[in-house]
Amino acid sequence: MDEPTILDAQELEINMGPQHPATHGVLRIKLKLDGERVLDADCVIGYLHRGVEKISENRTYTKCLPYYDRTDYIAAVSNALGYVLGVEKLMEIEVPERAVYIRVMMTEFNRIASHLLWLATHALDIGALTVFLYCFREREEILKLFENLFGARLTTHAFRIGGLWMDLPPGFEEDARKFIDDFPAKVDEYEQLLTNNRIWIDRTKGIGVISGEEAIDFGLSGPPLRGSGVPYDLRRARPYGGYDQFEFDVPVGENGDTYDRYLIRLEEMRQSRRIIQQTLDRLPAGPIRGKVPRVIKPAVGEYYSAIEGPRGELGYYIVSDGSAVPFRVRIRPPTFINLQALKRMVKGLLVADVIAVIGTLDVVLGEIDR
Amino acid sequence: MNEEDKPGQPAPEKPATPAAGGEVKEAKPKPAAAKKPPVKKGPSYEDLTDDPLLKDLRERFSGGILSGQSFLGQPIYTITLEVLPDVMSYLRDSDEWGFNYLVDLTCLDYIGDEKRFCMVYHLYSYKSGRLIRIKARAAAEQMVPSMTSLWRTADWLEREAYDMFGVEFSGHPDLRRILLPDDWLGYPLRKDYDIKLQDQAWIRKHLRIRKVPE
Repeated sequence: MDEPTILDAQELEINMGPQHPATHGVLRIKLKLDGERVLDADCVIGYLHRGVEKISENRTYTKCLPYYDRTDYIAAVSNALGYVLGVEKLMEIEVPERAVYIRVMMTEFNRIASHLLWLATHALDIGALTVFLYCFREREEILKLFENLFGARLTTHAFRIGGLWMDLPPGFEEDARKFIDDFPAKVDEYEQLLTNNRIWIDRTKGIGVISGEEAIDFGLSGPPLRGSGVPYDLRRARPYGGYDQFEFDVPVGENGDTYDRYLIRLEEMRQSRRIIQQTLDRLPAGPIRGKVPRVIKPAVGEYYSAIEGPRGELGYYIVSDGSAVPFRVRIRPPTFINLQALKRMVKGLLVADVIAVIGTLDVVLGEIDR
Repeated sequence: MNEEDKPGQPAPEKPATPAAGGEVKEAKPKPAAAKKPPVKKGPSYEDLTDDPLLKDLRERFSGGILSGQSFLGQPIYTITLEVLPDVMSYLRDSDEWGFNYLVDLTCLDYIGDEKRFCMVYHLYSYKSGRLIRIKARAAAEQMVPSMTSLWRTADWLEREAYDMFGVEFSGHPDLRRILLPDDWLGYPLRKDYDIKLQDQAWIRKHLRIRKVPE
């Protein structure tokens, strides 16, 4: 009998996205399904492509900076750090100690804010609505700090070549201290809601597993790499921007699954808090901006400046031809490369797990498409 | 790298033309270019003198290794396109070096040069913690060997280089555009693609905008 019955499995190709609440932007995934099982997933990206790299070649070094806020808009402060460090290297500009400390502090605040947004949406996707509200409560406090110092909440235009735009406003340190004093209890609260939650464990343990070797093969970085047991954190491996002066631990997972990556990000928030504590305790007095020439015109040369962003290795490969406009700025986007592993990670899973895997990769489409 | 900027010239930091500026010279470094002029401002390219990796590569691939330099402490190895796959697989697999992490793969466009494109690879070794940069020049119509068989990262990165520069990779399993629409005309990150330039036909067809800005 080769007459097909209604129960016969048939390969089905469906589009997930581009307008889908769980894709965190405009990501379209062509899923090939056998019933509920995923056979193949092909990512279609580029809906948010704005040509940031091309724009960079047509702006001066200073004018490029605000554009990078808009690539990974969740981590605008980190983006700025990677670029200004690169230009400062090319220009051989010394940054005063106070600016270095404030930069580290704000970047770590940004890491916490980014991880909070990740946890909020990741939990929301999987069905834990309460966590969403809790995380946004804390994130709001950080955004207030950003607004206080940078004048903006999201597209912060945080740092300037050579230092900062402005010193900390009055009352800022107290606000920051109040936040970090309260914060550990808040992280415990999220853990109470999720870590031992039966549903959470069922939805995340053993989902989207990737081994350490494969993670390296795919060039993963950030929590997806560390979740697979590779202790690679640029703040440790190749310290930049004064990070060698602070103490912190690099959490590493064992199983390389969604649950481990969740634990790592929670621990990273605690470690970021530790770094902020140290910057506040040892914050030196002094100027906030080094000697910067009026026109930024680096000598002929090139530099690859990479930082550990909240999502992984964010690199700026800046090539100068000696003029006031960069010859090329290549942005090495962490999530563009991390997303590539999605295809491999979702194979054989259920459709509902695809959502969990997108969440655990922490994609930001603004950065993937640039 | 910028041999013409080395001593003997009065103003070393004077900007060269964009095309010649970061040009990767095919010629061997001049032997006389040893000491810096005293008034030199800013960092400069320096030849790697006793770099074990350069020595090892020169022994193995002799003519394929064109130069070894460093800029701001970041080593740059310029090689020919012919030895590129062998060098990369050697760097990845040898126990001594173990550059198993392809950090980035991108392209530079030196329009007007005989070998127009410069492929740039950043490699990192988890073992030694070293970051290196490999460069290889390719002419406009030349195929570049794909790295997809060595690293799966290279898949999308090469697709992006193809999308933005029109560089074609031989041996890539699925070479098509990635960020731009499939039927887009032109390669935006090429230097002869003006920033205001758009594929007007595409816009008219897909966005139904009849009157497009010049």
